[in-house]
Amino acid sequence: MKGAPPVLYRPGTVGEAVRLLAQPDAEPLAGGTDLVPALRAGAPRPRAIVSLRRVLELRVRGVGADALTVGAAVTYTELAEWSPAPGLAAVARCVGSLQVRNAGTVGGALGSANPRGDLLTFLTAADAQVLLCSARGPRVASVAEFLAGGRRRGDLVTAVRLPPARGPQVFFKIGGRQAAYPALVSCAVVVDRLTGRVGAAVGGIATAPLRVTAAEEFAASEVDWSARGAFRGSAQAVARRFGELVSAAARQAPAQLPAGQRDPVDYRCHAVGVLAARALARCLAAPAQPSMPVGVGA
Amino acid sequence: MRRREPVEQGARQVVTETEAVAAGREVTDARPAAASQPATGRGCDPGRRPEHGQPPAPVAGDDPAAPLPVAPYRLHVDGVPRRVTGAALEESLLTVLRERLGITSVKDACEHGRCGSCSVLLDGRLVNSCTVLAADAADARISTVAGLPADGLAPVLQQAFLRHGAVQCGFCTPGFIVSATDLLTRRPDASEDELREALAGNICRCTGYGRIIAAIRAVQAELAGGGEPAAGGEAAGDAGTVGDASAAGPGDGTGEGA
Ligand SMILES: Cc1cc2nc3c(=O)[nH]c(=O)nc-3n(C[C@@H](O)[C@@H](O)[C@H](O)COP(=O)(O)OP(=O)(O)OC[C@H]3O[C@@H](n4cnc5c(N)ncnc54)[C@H](O)[C@@H]3O)c2cc1C
Ligand code: FES
Ligand code: FES
Repeated sequence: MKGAPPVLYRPGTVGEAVRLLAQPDAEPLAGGTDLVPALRAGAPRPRAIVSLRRVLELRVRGVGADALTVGAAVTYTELAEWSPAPGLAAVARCVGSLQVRNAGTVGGALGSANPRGDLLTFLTAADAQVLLCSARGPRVASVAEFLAGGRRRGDLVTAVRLPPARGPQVFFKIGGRQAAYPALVSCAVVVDRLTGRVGAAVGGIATAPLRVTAAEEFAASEVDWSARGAFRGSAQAVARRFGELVSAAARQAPAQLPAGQRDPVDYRCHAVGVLAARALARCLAAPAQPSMPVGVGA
Repeated sequence: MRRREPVEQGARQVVTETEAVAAGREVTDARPAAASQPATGRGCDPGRRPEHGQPPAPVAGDDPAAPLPVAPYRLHVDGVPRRVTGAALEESLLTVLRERLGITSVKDACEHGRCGSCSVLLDGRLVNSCTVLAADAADARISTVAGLPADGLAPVLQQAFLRHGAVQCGFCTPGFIVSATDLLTRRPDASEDELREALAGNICRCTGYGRIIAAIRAVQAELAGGGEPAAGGEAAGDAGTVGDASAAGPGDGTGEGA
């Protein structure tokens, strides 16, 4: 708040943006859905704002043999229409309102690191990587590493990279009016039929999305995903047990979010279990097509 | 749906230079008059809650922490280039449209992107102007309800809103007209579910939405060739009377806090 008035920079390339972000107290600006209201509400004003609106490199979406790449400035609306990533598209469709989806970006979601961010829950379950660039050069981090380390000064998220959809991917969330408020809790389940791996994460429990490894291992061992999700026992029982494991993991999670008025910790832990059970049941019911768009927002 | 140009195509518009909207160094103690005015005339908005503390724009005075204005910049609003002077960098497009340019048809209620009353089109995309940094919109095309084409869908929607009683206090109406115009332009035959989903970001405290949906459905029916007649004929008298009242809402924003 002291000294020189703030300055807006509008670079055209990642290189320029990164150079500008190297100066002290410089903040990137993407869609503005989080940052602009925060500035208005009196958040500490950065000395420099570096707008990414003109950095076209950040708007790429790429499909490779073993990875999908989504540029940091890709909006939810653009993601929502992107057929190579049906799970990601389904998550994007259930973010906020059309106005928010038209402006809000992938990079902004990571930059804000909201523990209830829908995209973060999904990216965590999907084993996504965050591609970063700073004046020191590029680096790659897992979503968990990126969120745990906090955004380092001068870091620009350039893209996220995730494996292509090779099985059912389901995302569920509960909360108040979706268009106006982030979800209370969310759960993403991502199945890879090729490797038999199941990724599961819950949002709204801890300060960052929580990977539920015990539940993942149970779902991977109990179900033969390559054979159309063949399982021992009933699908219902498998899904219920999966939900219980997720609830238990949520209760034991370190760095729990403080209880809110409308969401005591008990409720949240119970609710993610219910979401997880439903999500796995949905995965089990999915046909064996390699990439079924079954993600749904609740 | 509208999408941004993919990079391969967008690369044509070579943008290499870094454009800095530099801070107005010349302004030190004597702030320009424009910066001292806007705090007034805000209380008139029915949707405005007093607890939104923070004065929206720099208020001239002795406070050394008050934001300093940035150098003047230009916005392209409804096809007209408008010069913005005396604005602080962190001012939203909503603040600048209303308080610096006097365009009060863009409504100000929540300032958190939650209510849609400040909806505008930014390069053809529907956004909440309270979530856009005004200075960052300098090279974009901004359309408010007043700038939507007169021979397009907006006037037809406005008439339908009046006929169907979709306007009560009218505070949400400009935002709804912008959103509904955007939707029907992209998806003229949207289903009712789609319609409700696309308008979920616009809050109305009066109508309960039923009449708003009915008005839009009627316009869709008209477009499809069936349905009720547009303004004119028997409905004209009716629409005319209410139409006067509407000039203050979806109109050009001359009235204070209209
Ligand atoms: C009414 C409303 C409803 C919402 N609902 C939901 C919801 O349902 N689900 C949900 O998940 N989210 C929701 N959100 C939050 C949503 O706005 C964010 O998820 C969005 O992705 C932020 O993106 P942005 O481009 O607007 O970010 P900005 O506001 O531009 O930036 C946010 C932060 O990220 C930083 N940043 C931006 N880009 C980068 C980058 N490339 N590298 C590093 N840092 C960067 C900025 O410096 C800033 O600190 C909602 C927001 C609003 C206002
Ligand atoms: S004032 Fe902008 S969305 Fe409410
Ligand atoms: S808010 Fe009063 S008519 Fe919608």
